Amino acid sequence: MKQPVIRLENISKRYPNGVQAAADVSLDIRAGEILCIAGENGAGKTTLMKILFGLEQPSAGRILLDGNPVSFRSASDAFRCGIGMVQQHFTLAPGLSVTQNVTLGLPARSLGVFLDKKRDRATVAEQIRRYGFDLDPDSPASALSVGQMQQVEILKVLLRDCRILILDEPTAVLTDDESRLLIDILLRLKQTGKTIILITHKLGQIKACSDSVAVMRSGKLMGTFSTADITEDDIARLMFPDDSKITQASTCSCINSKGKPVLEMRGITVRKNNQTRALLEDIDLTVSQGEILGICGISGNGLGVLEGVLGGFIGTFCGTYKVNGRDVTGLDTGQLRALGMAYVPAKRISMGSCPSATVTENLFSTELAQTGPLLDLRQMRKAAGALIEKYKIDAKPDEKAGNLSGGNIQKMILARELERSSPLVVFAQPTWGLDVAGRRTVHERMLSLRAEGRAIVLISYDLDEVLELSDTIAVISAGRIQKTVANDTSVGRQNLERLMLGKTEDRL
Amino acid sequence: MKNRLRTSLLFAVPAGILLSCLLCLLLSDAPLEAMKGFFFGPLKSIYNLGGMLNSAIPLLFGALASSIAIKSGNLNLGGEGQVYAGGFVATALALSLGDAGIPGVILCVGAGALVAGSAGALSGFAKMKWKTNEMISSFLLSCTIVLIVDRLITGPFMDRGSNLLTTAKVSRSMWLSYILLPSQLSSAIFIALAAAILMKLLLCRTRFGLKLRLTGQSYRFAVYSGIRTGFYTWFPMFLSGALYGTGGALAVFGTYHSCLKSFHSNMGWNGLAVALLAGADPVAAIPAAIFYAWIESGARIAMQSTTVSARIASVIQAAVFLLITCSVFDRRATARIEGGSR
Repeated sequence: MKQPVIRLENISKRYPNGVQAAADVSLDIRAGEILCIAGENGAGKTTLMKILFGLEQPSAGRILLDGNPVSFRSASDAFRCGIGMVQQHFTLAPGLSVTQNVTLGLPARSLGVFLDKKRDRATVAEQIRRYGFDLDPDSPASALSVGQMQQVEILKVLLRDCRILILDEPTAVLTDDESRLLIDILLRLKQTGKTIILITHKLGQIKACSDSVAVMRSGKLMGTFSTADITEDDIARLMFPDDSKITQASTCSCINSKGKPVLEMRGITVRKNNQTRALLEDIDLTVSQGEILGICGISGNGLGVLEGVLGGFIGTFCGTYKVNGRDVTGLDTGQLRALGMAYVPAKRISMGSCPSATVTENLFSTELAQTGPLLDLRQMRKAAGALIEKYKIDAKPDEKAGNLSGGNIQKMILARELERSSPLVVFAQPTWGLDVAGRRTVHERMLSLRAEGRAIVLISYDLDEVLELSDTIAVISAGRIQKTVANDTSVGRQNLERLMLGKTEDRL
Repeated sequence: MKNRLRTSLLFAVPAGILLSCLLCLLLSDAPLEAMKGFFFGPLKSIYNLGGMLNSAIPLLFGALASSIAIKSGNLNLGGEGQVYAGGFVATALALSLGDAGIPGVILCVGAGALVAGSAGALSGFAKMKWKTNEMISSFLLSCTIVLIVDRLITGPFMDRGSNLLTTAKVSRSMWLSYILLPSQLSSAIFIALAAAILMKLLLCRTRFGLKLRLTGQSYRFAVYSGIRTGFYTWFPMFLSGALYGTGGALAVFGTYHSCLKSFHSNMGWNGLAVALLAGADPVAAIPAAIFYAWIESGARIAMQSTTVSARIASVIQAAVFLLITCSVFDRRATARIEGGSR
């Protein structure tokens, strides 16, 4: 039998705080195949791959590369052996071009000290052509879409002569179109002989591109299967201990009689310095009590800017912004909060939480306008404990927030934002990077907020999410609202996608 | 916090000691004498011990000043000027007040702290309004202050009757008492210790402290949470300058009794070094300052008593500090001190 290119033998990883991230995992990976590692967040997939890539050390077990035992002390060891990992969070330098980003850190090829720009550009252009990337070697990284940034990350790995690529949840940040393009690229990579390991929990994609799938649950390997021989339901059943977890949150099909308008935006236009094309142009939005307004669009079309305006981060714009009839145009986040806004931001780690502060401190950062200059630490810890229980956050009050998984950080943010009875709640990319269970939690919370009569704005690149939850949908493309529709059975997904791309609707 | 201190001091200190022993062996004619002087010299007599503790006082204030800046996401590099300004303003006011006693000391130290604090606040304001780098602005301002005070001391305020370049001595009623005769240790040490404990309480047990720390750890998060980040940018710089100034003023009332030219020398930078050694923690700054003072005194005593020259003593001191503040021992500590993103 042909020797697997990578063999993981009895890999275990136990963290100092007692968490068993991986338990006795043995896995073979054959050369030239695409293997998907599926599982919930916290199942151990990322940990396992981090061990393979040298970012973590196993507590037990060994790794064999081409039959020889290897030990990776760092990512550069793994690189040297031809293993490269494309992380979920990109690390591109915005001021540099695609070529510069890709060749950054590579040993200079020509004179040893000076950069050979022409040769670098030619090399990068060649790789782009070969694998069908949608990139211009000279464009600055700041001008790239999220999908393109990811392609640059893949290029970085390829240019270091990696024959084994590990991708961690690559489609979490991509639109459907970009995901399809990525899968094409991966299949082409496979044809040139690369071995690809894909960490994902998206069942559709597993079936679309992989040869084999390994399912993990709670640190254990549930089994390795040939993709052709297994169905999506089988995979799902292995990922979760019981069926009930994967049912979607039920949407209330009855749209309550809406209350009075809470959020009113008229004519919002945002222009950056002296650019002719506005980032946002003439945006009109209304959200009433007990209504979820879903705003969808493709990354780069103004959703982030809209989030900034709603959240009070972007102060310079034309138009009016009213909350509960009160003009809040130009107020900052603190002032908006005081007037009844809660805000769950897209940037969970850099904005929505403070990784170096404790969970308690994170939970009460917005409540610091209480009476009394002294903190009652015991009371705070107790209150934090209560919130942790209520929102089922897997953390202790004194733990540093940076140690939490993405899903738990989001729960912590929800615990902070949703406990105050703010009439307006803004959600931006709330389920980005979360697994099915995390997504379900967020959706359930949103629906219960709606039942309480709050006004909710949902900004999301995830069209499924918008369709599931919204009462009204607004499609943004090129900074303008293309259309606002009530979310009933007449709304076609295809139509929304076309509008998002800036095309006109299909006339059926 | 404890881990950071343990790693930083526990490994660095023995390594520093080993290195200095090695250097003594290599550079001195009488290495054992040198080593004895270096390590045990400060503890040999009450005079030495008291002197050592006394020199730890401005180091402690400096460490507290640097720590509060660091915790709020700033770096105050203007310590030299702030110490000098604090000392000078306090002296100038004291000279005009005459026999004012302890109430006078309090007033003068307050004035010194206010002026030094304003220097820090200026950098803070510039950062808040125009995103000026506070490291550069505080440092440049400090250079200017030093020159101005130098001119004032050697000019209108000079005491013609003294052999040193200094102002006149302040009234005897305003001298802080010596608590460990025959050494020079003044009662200012109690104020320093109290300040350290108060700052720890301020940072960890008050709303103000939490908002300050959150602003330092993640500016964006603080803005998002509705914290008045502008205030928490310039006010900690004011406090930082004020603490440096207090250190300088207390050095005048406790030790020098007049504002000697360049008395501030290295108090600013060493204060910052002690803060880094202590991981910007106010309570850890106490043993850190004492240790730092011990090494400094040891170097001086080794130089006086043996054939170790002044240069070699400095080399040994520098080597020890290099090891200590070098991030070889705990990269994560310095990463954490650098605070959140801006």
